[in-house]
Amino acid sequence: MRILLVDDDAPSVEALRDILESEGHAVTTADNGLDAMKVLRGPGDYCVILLDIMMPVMNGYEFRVEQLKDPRLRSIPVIILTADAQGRERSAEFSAKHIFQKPLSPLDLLRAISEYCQPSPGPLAP
Amino acid sequence: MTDAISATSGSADALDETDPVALILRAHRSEAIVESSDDAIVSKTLDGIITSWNPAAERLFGYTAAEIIGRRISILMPPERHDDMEAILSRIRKGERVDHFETVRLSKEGRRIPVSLSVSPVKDAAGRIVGAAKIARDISARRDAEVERERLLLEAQQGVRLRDVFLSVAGHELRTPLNALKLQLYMLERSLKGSTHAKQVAKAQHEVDRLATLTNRLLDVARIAAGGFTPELGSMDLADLVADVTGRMQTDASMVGSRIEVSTPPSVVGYWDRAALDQVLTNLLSNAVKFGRGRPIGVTVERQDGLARVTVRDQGPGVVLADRERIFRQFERGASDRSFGGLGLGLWIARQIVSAHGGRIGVADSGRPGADFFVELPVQKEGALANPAGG
Repeated sequence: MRILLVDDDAPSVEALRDILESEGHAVTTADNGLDAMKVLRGPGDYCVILLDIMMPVMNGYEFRVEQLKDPRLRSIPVIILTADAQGRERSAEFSAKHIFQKPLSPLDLLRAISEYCQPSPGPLAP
Repeated sequence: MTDAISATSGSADALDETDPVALILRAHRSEAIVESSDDAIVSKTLDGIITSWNPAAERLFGYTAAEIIGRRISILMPPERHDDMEAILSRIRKGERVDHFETVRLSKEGRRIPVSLSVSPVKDAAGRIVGAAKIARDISARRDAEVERERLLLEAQQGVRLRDVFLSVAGHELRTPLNALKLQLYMLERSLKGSTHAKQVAKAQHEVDRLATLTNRLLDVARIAAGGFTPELGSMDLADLVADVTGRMQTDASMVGSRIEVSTPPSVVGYWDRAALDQVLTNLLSNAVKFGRGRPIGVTVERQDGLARVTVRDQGPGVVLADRERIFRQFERGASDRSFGGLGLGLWIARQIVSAHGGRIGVADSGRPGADFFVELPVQKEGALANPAGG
């Protein structure tokens, strides 16, 4: 099971991918909500979606609406990562499992992810 | 003009006692007041034929008295307002007055003039209604002011919207690179574990956190200062929040050789804004860590008389009586020099948040050394849940 990381900020994506992979997680990334929908409708199983909100093309909110419409995808848990202070106020609308404000605390995020994803044992960890 | 007024004033003794025009004429026995009035004063027969016309009417409508006396009042009415006249005259025939009727009239040049009309019946010596006296006040200036006021209101609303968008975008743009920086530092810290550089990375991480806090605080202040703070109320457990915040702050406390001792009932449930109260408690605790001289910090939660009360007690220098209000003002700092960092905004924000909950925040007089900050929040709020164990 992989983690889908949806965020348009390349430096953040790169750093977070490194952290998750060093913990033994397999990560797929997407630039925006539309990209993420394409990934989810392709092959592969996802244990959690890490979702930014403010993104071009399709933002996190619009993505969530699309995801919930798809019976095959709706049950994948979502953790929101937002740089927007109002993010927390909208967490109810998103019905997200967790909401974290950027800058992220990696340890808190890893703890939340561990509720849904088991890292694959083996060569990924440094 | 003079004739028309004289004719009206000649029958003044028989005029309606409540008619302001009649009373004016009676009181002065002179056309002087009518002549010098800033309002247009016009009289007409029940058929709508103009019988008197003062200088203000000349100035307002552009017709001289000689031009217009004997003509129909409808000459002043725009086509779509012709029904007005019948409505007004039918009330006059019944002996009623029409007060402050706002409508539009036409000048001789065809300019539309917003006016406020007061029309009263005129009676003859036998008490029969024979005509109407009309006072027309030019309300263009007032109308212009109303339009201007609406424009300013719209402009202010747009300003507020723009400000909110700006603050939201600014926050997003400032936090995004901080996020990448923090994540990169985390990886660096891991790869340098045990190395002599690990300490520098830890310091760099601490600085990133400080920058993130300052960013949030500045944006909070901009938002609160411009629009006030509106809490997002929800059912929450204050004891749980205190456990959360103190747990998080324990590391900071231990870094200065202090520890946080917590005493709370199992739960104190109320209807509050959890994230905002988190901010208040985090601020009080970080002050206690900063000023507490490495001695133990006590946090207690109590419930009494419909209030939940949180106390954060340190054993630092305390807050002298004279400063106990001042430190809650914007940009004020308890410490007199630059030996402690900060913008001097934390307690001000905390007060805005607590006040918006209908509560109080302050420094208590404990009689002990150190500072005793307290936050009191009303528990009984609309939608509040019963507190099963809070006592």
